[in-house]
Amino acid sequence: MRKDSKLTLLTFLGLLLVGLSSCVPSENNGGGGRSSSRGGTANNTFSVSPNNGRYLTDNPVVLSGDDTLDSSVDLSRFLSPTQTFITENQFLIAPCGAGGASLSQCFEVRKNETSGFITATENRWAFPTTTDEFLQVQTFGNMRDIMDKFHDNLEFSYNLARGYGYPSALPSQLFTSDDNAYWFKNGVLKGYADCGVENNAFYDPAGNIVCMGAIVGNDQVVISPPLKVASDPQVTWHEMGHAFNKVNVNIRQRSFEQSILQETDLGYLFYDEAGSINEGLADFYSFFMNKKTIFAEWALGRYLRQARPISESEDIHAPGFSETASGRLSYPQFVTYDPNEPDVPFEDVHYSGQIASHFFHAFYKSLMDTNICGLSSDNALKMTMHLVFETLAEVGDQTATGYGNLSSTYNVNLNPTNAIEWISKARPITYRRFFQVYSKYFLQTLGNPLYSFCNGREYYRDDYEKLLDSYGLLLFKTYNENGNGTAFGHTGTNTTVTPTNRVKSQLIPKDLLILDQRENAPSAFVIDSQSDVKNAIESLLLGGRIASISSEIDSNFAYNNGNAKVSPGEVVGLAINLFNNSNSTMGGVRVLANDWDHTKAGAPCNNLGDNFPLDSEGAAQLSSGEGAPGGCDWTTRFNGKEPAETGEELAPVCLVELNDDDSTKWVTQDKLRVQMGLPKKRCLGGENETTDCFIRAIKGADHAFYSKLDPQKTWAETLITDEGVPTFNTSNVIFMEVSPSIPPGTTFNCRLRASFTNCEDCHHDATKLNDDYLDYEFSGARPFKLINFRFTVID
Amino acid sequence: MKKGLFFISLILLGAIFFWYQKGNKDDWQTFVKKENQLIKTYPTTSREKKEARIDKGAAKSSAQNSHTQAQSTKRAPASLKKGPPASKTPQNQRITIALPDQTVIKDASPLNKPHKEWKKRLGNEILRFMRPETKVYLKKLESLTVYEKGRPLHVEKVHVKLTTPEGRLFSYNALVDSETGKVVETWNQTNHEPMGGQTKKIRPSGALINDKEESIRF
Repeated sequence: MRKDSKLTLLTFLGLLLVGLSSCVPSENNGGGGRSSSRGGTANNTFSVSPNNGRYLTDNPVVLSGDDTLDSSVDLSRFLSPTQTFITENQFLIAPCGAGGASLSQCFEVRKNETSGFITATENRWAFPTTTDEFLQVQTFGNMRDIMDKFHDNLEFSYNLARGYGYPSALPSQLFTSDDNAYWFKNGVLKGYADCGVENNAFYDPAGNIVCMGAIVGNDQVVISPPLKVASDPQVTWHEMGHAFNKVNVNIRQRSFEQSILQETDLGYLFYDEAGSINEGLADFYSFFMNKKTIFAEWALGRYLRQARPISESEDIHAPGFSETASGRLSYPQFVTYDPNEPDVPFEDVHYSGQIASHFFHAFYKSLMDTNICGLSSDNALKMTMHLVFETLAEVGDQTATGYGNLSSTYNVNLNPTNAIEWISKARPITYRRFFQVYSKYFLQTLGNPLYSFCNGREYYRDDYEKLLDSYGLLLFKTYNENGNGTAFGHTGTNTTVTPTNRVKSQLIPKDLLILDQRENAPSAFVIDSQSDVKNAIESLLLGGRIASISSEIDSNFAYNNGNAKVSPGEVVGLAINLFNNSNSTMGGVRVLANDWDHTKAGAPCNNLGDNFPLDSEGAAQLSSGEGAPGGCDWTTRFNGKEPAETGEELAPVCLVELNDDDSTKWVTQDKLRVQMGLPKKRCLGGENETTDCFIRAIKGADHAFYSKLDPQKTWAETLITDEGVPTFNTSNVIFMEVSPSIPPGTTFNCRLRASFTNCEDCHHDATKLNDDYLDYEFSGARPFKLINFRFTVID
Repeated sequence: MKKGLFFISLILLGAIFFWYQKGNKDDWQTFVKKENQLIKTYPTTSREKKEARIDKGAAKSSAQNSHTQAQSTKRAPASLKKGPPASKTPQNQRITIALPDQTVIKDASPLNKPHKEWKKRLGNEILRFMRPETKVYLKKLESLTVYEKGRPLHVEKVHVKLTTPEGRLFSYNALVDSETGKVVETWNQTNHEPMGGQTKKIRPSGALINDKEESIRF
């Protein structure tokens, strides 16, 4: 053999020997990882025992303390050498259980929806951190950890409620129901560790999917290599938080196996307060796992500057915030606050949700404070979540019983038939409603002197009310223990909030919410250009926010002429220009354009507080039975859906001005149709729906939500930072179909109802010792400010 | 010989086609809008399922964990549920749901009559206002009879997925009128965590001025 060939051969053999030796576990390792030359854990197959592996237990910034890490950072540097049990399964599929019940398959993890399951290598789940396999093990571990903790907490709450015996919203059938009330009724929760979406992660409840994408950057920054969102466990926990919220708001109907037509959601519009609370809770689920008061500083913060704090003490906050009564992130002032850009108001559920997450953290801390309650950290967290579980179970309840056993006594959400409408629209989950119920359960547990939760005493109600008030959330006058049901909603005694504890929380009379009356002020902004309406309707249809649009409307919106007026044949968006005529900020302003109980015997009632219409203008002639069905001061008890309640049908909001022989009257739309001789089939809803023949709000886009109105301002003035034209989200706009058959010159008066979260008299009935209005009253006028919006249809 | 092979090939092709159609009978259906309002429909292809992120359901038959327990056999007291659980009902059977507080008018005629083309009508309805190359994927979950003011209404519960021409994906559940294909209710919309970009805003054409027939244009 030639000399150089021998050298080559020897070199080759030497390299081969070195390579083979790396496959043999080190004797000193004890199953731990081998350090790389840079100090990381190599995470090779035989560095762990069977069924074990490794994954990051928090994001790289937390684990390293370095917030300048690059997306190409070697994640093995942050892996603990200690191995963790992954699964004995062949695939990444996890069981779950609580309260003696269990499911063999609760969730599964794959790379995405088209990929197969990965399998363990030699029964081991250790993979290099640069691989797809590692990311899936990472996601699996993070999902499993939080799911186990969630179920532990749920079981704790269940046992606590059973043990103390107060009227709990957590049913006794929680763990025995065939509908798997403690998890998902149908199917396994699917986790996709690298699902291919850019700058996004999402929870898809329809497909029961948690999808983790990748951060690729934006116009300002390009991130290469992309930052895999699953490498930040906090985002995984946040998405799982959405899944848990879904479970919680459906817990009662599932426990009782009640058939429902659709599941309860927590959030129904692009922006609403239910969605904000959903986001705030999801952020808090990250704290729930790691006790860190900043969310996602790796996935969201590193490049995109969108990390979110969970405590006022975080440096990311603008100056001025602190964990003191005066320094809290309070409602409604800070609903549009983005800590990364504090001078730019931003209406988004993720930012509004910070008020909720900050309160939960503050409450948790107060539970540990020895001057207040003195619980351990673990118990403080459990109790904070216990109240969340109780609250979500009650407010999302479609059995409408609210708490206790199933019965025909309805205490919340009117009744099963109308529960979804109440939850989503009529009496939605706002900051006020959520925290009133949260507070009720506080009073029944921590605040109950009989139970002595806090080392021999209760958590004093005064301390609690002051903490809630520091967040601007002491928005209720009683704890409403008697619920909102027709039968018992005004019986018994409710605990009254101590008025002197309400310092920061501002309650404002509803009469101070008005249409902007200033000279030349708009009554409404009009969206009627073809392109803008097309984009808006497409967005609403894609998002599943609206149902169907009339066949009378042209598919290309050909009639939309962009003349800023309401014209026949258009779909027109209206952003009602409400003005806050008070000296305090109004939060959670809502405008409803859905059908409600304001007419009797086919004519509009004029005793509803809005002085419309006059008797001479066609107002309803009251029946002889005042205070009885059929009269103008009777509100339907069943939202107009009970066949036996005759004469109590709901009516569309828009009335039409009709010229009679000798007078002008305001009448229902069908009367105009009859006068015109228009066939029923030409009505917007077809021949079976003639009450809204000419103008109707599109279902799903028939209510608008505004985050806040500053004092003496409109929403547009509150949100815009320059003198430009205001722009809107879909949730700020009511979309209406306008029939092509309307004669130009026809005038309509749409009797809209408005409310807001920190309203003095939208929620409390002063005639009933400030007890909450009963649910059925939200079909009528009393809880609302009536806004008469008038316009003439112009060709 | 040649003829025999030819006939065998035909039979084989027929069998494959039959199997494909059978497999897709209650599976996803695609509706895509083309130019000139034309809407095409066909069983969703594998490639489209990938684009729409429709889970093909990875094989799990061998993945049962023999070490975990079966679901607890504890039974609750009798529930007040109306109708049999959906999971125990043959797929083609319509489930009647009367909510506990609803009045059911005896022998009332239904408000609608199921139409075999309801899915097509639904697809057309959703796509009517969409841009060309927008796709809708529909899968029927259940056929239901519910009650509206005491009278039966036939509806279909569906899973709706949509992709825009740019590839953005959306998903939700819906109840659909079994005759007209019109959407009655929607829920389970996806919770997105949009990062790195602002949501598109709506710009008004102008504004109506208080009580006047005037408006200003922007």
